[in-house]
Amino acid sequence: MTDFDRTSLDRILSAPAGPADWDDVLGRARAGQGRRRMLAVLAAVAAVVVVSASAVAMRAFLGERGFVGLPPTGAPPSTPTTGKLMASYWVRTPETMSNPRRVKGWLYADGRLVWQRENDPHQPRPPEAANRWSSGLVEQRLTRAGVERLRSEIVSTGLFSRNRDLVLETESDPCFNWIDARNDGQLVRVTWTSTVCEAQAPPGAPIMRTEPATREQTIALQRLKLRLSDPAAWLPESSWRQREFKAFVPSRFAIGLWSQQGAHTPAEILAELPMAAQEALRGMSWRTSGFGPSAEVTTRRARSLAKALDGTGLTRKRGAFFLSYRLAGPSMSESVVIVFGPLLPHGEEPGYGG
Amino acid sequence: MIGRRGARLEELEALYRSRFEVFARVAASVTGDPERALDAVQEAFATAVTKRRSFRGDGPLEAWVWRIVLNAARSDVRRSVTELGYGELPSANGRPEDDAELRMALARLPERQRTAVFLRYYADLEYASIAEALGISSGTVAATLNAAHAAIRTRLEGIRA
Repeated sequence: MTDFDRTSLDRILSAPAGPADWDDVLGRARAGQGRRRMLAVLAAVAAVVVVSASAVAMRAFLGERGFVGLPPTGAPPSTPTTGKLMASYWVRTPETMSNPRRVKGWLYADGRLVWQRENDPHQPRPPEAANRWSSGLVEQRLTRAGVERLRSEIVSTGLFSRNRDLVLETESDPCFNWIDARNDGQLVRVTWTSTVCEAQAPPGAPIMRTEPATREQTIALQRLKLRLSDPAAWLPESSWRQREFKAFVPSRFAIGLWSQQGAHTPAEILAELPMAAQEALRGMSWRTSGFGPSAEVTTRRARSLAKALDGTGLTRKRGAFFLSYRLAGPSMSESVVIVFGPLLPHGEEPGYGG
Repeated sequence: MIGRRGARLEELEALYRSRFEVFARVAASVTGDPERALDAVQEAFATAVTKRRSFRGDGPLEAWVWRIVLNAARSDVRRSVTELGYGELPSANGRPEDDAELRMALARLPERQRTAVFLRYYADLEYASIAEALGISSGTVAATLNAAHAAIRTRLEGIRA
């Protein structure tokens, strides 16, 4: 077929990442004109102004919006750099079986509540989102009492006396949901799926040892997931030190290696890369997990690594959830992917699935 | 419209509102990323607003704006060393295989050929407007589209063989 029809091209071309916004166009035009006038007048003090303006712009950039990839230069990492996990969760909010609009959150003893909301990529990007797929990682801060109130809200259900894998008789939950909560000093995990999901499991799928949820347990989980999806909607003002959310800037990143060619060890995978890329990644302390080799680096080091990988023949791609560099393989596939994954205060990556 | 100097703000707004999605989608074919394409379109229209008095009226206003949009999208690509990535999402239509083949074949065209295809068959521009948008002659537009057709035909035949 070489008679291109508009319908085919319409399906192939990516939909706009957001709605038309003429006011934004006019704002940019005014800003551009203003910049030119300002530069003419303030050239003599440009250096000072630029430094000040950068700080203000950085604050504006990081206000009420997450990001995907590396944080802008100069963005201060979230502090403290490490944190004790009090609870974490991945729950559905609206009535949909699919992933979009699910919320994943992490509550720390120091008061931080870090979370990200998965968007429906077929819908226009919400104004506060990092992109069509995700809010990006953002953080709010609770008081000590607020942390305890949120944790208590979870454990008071009575479900967290031990780990549980439950099956709910419901049609409105995705097939895997979890809540971890610290109870008596230990993190206890409750997962749940639905009878619909169990019935739809393909032949050969791993069988989970699940137990049927009671009616009370079902009601408790349904209520809990609504609460966890938006704590700002019900926690009182006194529970918050910072109710408005801002971007979570990680202090460390995990650099992950993945090969489609069957290579497993760091040396094998690195050998597939161009020499310049190998040089950029030389001397890193790789450790191997179930997902392949990865190495922890500071955010500053991650930024310098990314800069070094630019121009090495790899393709830089800011995807739905993270930055990556890709070595093209046959048939438009990638033979090697280098992923820059942000690390949360408790040392894990957010993950983009169960 | 032809032969006058300057463009009115209302004309640019009307063009933006009526053709925003087409601009954004074609720009995404250059940047490989809808977010950055959106940014390029917004910046390009801001530039058009700022420089609207320099529009000479030698051709349609839309062609003049297309040139600014494509330049903004290409500048973004040069800055970020990114690559095409249309269709990160699976096709949602009833013929995913056909779309995948066409997407693959289009992705392997040189950028100018690919953009010419989108401007002609998606944005419905005349050859003269495509020439203005791409900064080439009308004759070169025809040759570019012919080359694109030939390359696509060859690649699709190769894929399906």
